[in-house]
Amino acid sequence: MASPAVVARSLVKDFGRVRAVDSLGFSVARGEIFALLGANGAGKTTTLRMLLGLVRPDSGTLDLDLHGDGRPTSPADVGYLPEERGLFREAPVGRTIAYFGVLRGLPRPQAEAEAAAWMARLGLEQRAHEKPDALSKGNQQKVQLAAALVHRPRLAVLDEPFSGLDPVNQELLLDILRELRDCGTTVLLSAHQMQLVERIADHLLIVESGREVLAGTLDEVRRAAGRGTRLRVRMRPPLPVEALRRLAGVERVEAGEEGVADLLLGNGTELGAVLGEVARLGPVLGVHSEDAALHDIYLRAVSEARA
Amino acid sequence: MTRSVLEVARWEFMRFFRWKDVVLGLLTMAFAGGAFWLVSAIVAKQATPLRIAVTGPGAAEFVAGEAEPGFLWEASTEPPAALHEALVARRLDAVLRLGDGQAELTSLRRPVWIELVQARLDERKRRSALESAVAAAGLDPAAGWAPVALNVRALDASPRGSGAVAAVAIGVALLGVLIGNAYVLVGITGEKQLRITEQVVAAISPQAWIDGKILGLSALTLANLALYVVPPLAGLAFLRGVGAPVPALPPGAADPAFLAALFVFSGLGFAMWFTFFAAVAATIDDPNTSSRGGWMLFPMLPLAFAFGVIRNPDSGLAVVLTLLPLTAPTVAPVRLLLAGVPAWQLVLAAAGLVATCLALRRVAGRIFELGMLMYGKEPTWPEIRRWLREPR
Repeated sequence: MASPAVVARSLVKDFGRVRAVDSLGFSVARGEIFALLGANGAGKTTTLRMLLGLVRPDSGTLDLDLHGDGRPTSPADVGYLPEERGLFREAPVGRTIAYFGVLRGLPRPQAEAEAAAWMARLGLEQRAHEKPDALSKGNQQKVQLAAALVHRPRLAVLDEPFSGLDPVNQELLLDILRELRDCGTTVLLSAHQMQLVERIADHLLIVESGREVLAGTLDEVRRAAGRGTRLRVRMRPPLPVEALRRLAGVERVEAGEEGVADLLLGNGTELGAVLGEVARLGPVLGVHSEDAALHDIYLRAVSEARA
Repeated sequence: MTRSVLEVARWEFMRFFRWKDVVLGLLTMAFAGGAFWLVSAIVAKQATPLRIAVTGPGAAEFVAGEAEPGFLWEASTEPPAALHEALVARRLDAVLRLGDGQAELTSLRRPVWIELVQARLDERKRRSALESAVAAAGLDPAAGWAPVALNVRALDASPRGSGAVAAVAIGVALLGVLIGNAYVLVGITGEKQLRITEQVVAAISPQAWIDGKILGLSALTLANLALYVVPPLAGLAFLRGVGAPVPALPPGAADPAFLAALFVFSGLGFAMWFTFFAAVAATIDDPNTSSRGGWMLFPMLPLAFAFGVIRNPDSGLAVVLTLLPLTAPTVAPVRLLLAGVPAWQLVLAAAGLVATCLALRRVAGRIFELGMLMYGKEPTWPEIRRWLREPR
């Protein structure tokens, strides 16, 4: 098995009397999309900054093996989209992207070609000679993304990449992230948009107050959170709520109006068996099932951690 | 020097350097110079001297000798009524009636040049008294007023440059520091406010970033100064070449050794001061509210010491100021122009400047590294001292 691209062990970082990151450990496989989730101030950005060497951890270790052979990491291997980001106001955006490419080690002609390619990919090819103030916030955000990725890094660290993007550009960013993964780039991102993250992330790490709350693939997180499937049934009233709660595999029942009830099933619970048991309790008029949303899992995990 | 340093230097240079602005500036300067020359020529051509009629005893002696610029003294025997009529008709500007130990000046309005008339009266009175005394002693008054011939015999016959050129050179260096520090302040605080710093620091080391900035902004400042100093000098040289009536350049203004020393020492001085100020600017969160912007005036004092050297460039103090890194950027070229400087002093001064730049670069790099990533507040001086003590 190939060594992970990133391994963090027992990271700790204090700012004065505030502990921003507390014994955090995680591992990111090469070529996967790894999402760091957490509330504002949970320690995500500090963790990413430590990964990039912008902030020194007080204790713990961070190992990067982006080539897979133990070679040291160079700036050319990493691309970074910071949470606090801006553009040079007096420079055309195409030149800014090329400048970051050169700083990351590309020869100037290649940096200029890559900058032009990225502008085209992002639908901004006609605006390369414009200054940032002439662009909308969303387009500025796309330029910043291009500046982070222009040199085709092995590791892309993207702090809140979806913020400020409209739904169309969010979809464009999802496509770009998939393309990066397909090309072997490891993506480490932080985000608040759970509905987007669950469509793209291979691994998740939910943090609260600098500590790990949940980690793993989406399925693993669902299992760990005990929020496998949501089964909605509509029965002829009155609802046999207590009988439903006693059914095997049902963790919780949320009774609604008009005979509707949401049954939250534990992981591994066989849906057909539960449905059979429900039918024995009374006539079933309608059924709908769905996986528990990451949004629900996140909210519950964070609130439990805070409690 | 690493590639990223050169790339940052190029970026910083191109960021602020615009040919359009340079051409516009030169055209404005040429237009202003031409307009000034034209207006001066017209005024000189049309200006008529003030005509002052002098009457009374000793009038002929009073008007004899050289007149002050713009004045025409005329001894007159016309009756007072005729002089009054000439005054009213503006054929005369004033009438000066001399008496015994007093004088009366009549004009249409109270003149602004009374002090000059008073000075001439006093001088003529003293001169008359002296001449009477000399004549009474049986001596020749003319011989007494003849100037003394002063023959200067300098043991070191090498020519000296002009003090005016030295003063202009110091002024240009001060202007360069002001211009460059403004670039540093705008560039660094602007990047902090635009939140660009993290993206850059993640790509290259902060030391490479500050090095590139210093290099680029020093080159930019030298280019700016050259663009505003060389074309006027070249224009004057051209006009003299084609026989136009323009004044000659003062001695030393085109001396290659002086110009080379000025270039080298100013360049090193700019690097030193910009490094210092880059560190200060990195600690500024908002230039509109911070009081630390005033630090950009700090280099003015040691650089201005060179004005004191102009009067006595051979003094021991001048030698010391040549060797001190804080004053060397202006004092060394100025002394080279005015007095000549032994090669060892120039080498030692340049080496001291380079060493200071290198030492300052390390300190500034550390402050820059941490200051650039601090948003929303300015580090206190104790915090900065702690940064400097922390290992990298």
